[in-house]
Amino acid sequence: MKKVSMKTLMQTIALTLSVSILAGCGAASSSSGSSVPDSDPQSAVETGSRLFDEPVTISMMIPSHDSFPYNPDWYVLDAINRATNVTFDATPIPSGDYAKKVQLQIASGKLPDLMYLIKVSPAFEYGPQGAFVNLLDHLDEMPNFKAWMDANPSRVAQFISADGALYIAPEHGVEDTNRRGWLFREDILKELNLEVPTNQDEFYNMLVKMKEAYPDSYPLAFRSFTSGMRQLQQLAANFGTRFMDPNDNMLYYSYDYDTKEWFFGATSDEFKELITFYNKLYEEGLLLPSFMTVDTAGWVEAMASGTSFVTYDYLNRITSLTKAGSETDSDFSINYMPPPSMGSNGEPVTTFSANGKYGFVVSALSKNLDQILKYIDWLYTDEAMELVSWGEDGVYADKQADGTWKWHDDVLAAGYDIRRELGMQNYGTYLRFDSQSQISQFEVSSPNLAHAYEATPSHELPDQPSLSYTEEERKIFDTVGSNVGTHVSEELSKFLLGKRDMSEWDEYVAEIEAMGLEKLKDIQISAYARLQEVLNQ
Amino acid sequence: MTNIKKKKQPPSNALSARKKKSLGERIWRDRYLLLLFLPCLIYYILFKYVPMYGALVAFKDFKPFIGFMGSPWVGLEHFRTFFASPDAWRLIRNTLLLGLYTLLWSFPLPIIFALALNEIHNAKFKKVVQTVSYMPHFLSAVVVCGMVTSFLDPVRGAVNLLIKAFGGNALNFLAEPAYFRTIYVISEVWQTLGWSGIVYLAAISGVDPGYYEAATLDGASRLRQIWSITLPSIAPTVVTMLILRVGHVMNMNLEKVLLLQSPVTYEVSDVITTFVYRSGISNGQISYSTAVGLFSSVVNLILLVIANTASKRIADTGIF
Repeated sequence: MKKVSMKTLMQTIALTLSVSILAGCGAASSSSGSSVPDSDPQSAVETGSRLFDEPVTISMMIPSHDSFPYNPDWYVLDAINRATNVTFDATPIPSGDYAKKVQLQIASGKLPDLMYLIKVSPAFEYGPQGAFVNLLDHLDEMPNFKAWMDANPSRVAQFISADGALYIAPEHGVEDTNRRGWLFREDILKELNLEVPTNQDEFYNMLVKMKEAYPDSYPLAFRSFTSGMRQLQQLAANFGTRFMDPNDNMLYYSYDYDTKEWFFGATSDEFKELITFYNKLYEEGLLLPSFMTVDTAGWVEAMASGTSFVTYDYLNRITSLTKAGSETDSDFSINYMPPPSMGSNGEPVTTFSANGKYGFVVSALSKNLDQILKYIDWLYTDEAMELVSWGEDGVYADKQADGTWKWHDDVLAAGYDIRRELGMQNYGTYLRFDSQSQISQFEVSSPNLAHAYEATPSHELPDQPSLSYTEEERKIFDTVGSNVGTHVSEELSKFLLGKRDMSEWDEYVAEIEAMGLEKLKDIQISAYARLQEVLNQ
Repeated sequence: MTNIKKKKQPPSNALSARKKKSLGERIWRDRYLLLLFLPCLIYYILFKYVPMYGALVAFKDFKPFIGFMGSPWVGLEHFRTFFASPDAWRLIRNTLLLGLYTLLWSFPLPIIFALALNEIHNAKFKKVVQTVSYMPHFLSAVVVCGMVTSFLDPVRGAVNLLIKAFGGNALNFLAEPAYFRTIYVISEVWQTLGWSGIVYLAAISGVDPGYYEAATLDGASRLRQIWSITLPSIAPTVVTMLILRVGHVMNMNLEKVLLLQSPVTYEVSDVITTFVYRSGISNGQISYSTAVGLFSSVVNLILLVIANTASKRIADTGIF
């Protein structure tokens, strides 16, 4: 036994050594390969009209979407380089982990020149500590940015922090294609001779009929209950209530523009109706049993394989679900369903979902600040917006005489995706974007999706005010708010799955209120008052 | 372990007997051994001792851009906030229970596994079993949890299909607080069984074959041999491993708990590490979560000392 193991050990060592030697060779040869002078024709392009005369390298950290992973060879990055002479030292991070990576990066104290935020709170929290540049201090150097700000004051207001500074260069245009809504299998509805439901009873009957026709199915499916029951934010509007706060921070206060009051949706009577209804769907097998824990892949499978027929998600899922479902069922078609009104106080509306509060923060420690600000400023020009939305004139799209753009036919082919193929509309490649670029492509490649984008805004509630907290407020938010968040999501999930009886709802309301809701309401009121002051200036 | 201790003693006695050799001479004499030890020492200083200084953050209100030195001291405020929060006791209870259940199952099973494996005399079969058993150790938590989730899926999962085939009703396992600990412990045992067994197999292979020969001559059965020879011989290893494990009771496999939990199981699945993750990494409350993490380390240390003292009293072996 001992001898054998000794021999194995020696073999292992020998193997490890040889592998590491091989690896060493590999590394050496590849590095010598890249040191060969670059014969890229694009680097030879004349430099006269570029933003910078000398090459500029900007380091940036950006989220990389699973469906469109960051690719340094994207056309749009080359186009930016030809126009500006800027190359990127990019650190792409899978978008699911992004918010956490941003926190860790900031905590380390070492920042890249640019960081693309998909949540404003880090800018609000660490900007005042001196991590990021206050762009308002540099407006003289940024004429194009200033012109954009003057033209879009309400967009800018969403990004102003508690100390009245602007630490983030906001994105503008892509949020239009972030919309979400009810999606359903149009072919199944036709097959069963059902009408598109407009209220709770019709919606319920539709699901029952579907279940009767397909006994093995679970007609309704959701995927976004993970991470703090976020899906409820989308479902609450139908019942005439709200769930999360505008910053998606799990602080469940919402602003009512009619009464001018902050209210806590998750303990309201309307919310009780909502939970009662979805609990009923769950108990009767009308809702996918794993809706609370299913991941995206499992949800796609349920929708594409005919296990589920109705869902609520990003509108652009129309394309990907149709693609996945058509492989096995040629009649498969997904369409947008106008929101039904539900409950006694419901409205046929959807929560405002074009709410991408995204943008670049500039590191205060950056060595070449002037150049970076100049680049940011350039991204707000019309020229840059057209370049990052349509590319160079004549390459993939042509500029028409009336100033609009038109894609070439090969881009309009079904299944072609400008995000994946050309890199356009991906985080960090734009600040102003012409959403027509994507929508006009869908008009040809996916008419259902184009129709959905057109229809949603008319059903949509106004956006919620975006609040920024002072340090004192943040402390309450972090302690009281996080306890409330944990318990709201825990108890609501128990009610939904029937682990807690609905007759205990009043006790639940009392429990949550006892955790200090008044304190949370107070910080919402004072933060909102501060925002109003900034807006009035 | 006792064997090692006994073997070590004579040279150290001898050394103290002739005190002529100075420290420098001794270092020079053992220079190659010390050189071999050096990387290990650097590792521990760099990655285990230096970060301890960072634990001071728990007593400060840390702001990354004001820096460690500039952030104000707040004393025990973060600890007070934690113990005042309604979840503190639930977190501590869940952490201890989940840790103890894991220890209860995943500690003895590898020993039994190693003993059983030692009784197999078909070398090829033994090798295959051993390799297969420690393969899961190399799977990441994400993969394992993906497997668990798909096996337990209420609609398409293999386990539920089996239950339905026998006429039962499908269970939504991952949404049942009652099953959370069981699922976690089973997946932990499955993943660590073979790997943790290696150390016991090594200890067993170190037992002098002479004992077994003598026992066979005296007519002892296989079971008797395991009971009277193998187990006493590996007892020091077992005790050491147990003490070390007790020192980690509060440390969960964070990724696994996170990936298997959902709000509906918080009452049993919310543990200190997931809380630290949520508040520290997701919400950026670095000081607060360091304080909570420090508290959990202190509990670990206390448990370790208790286990070590108990073991010294009862079995006369310990790790310090």
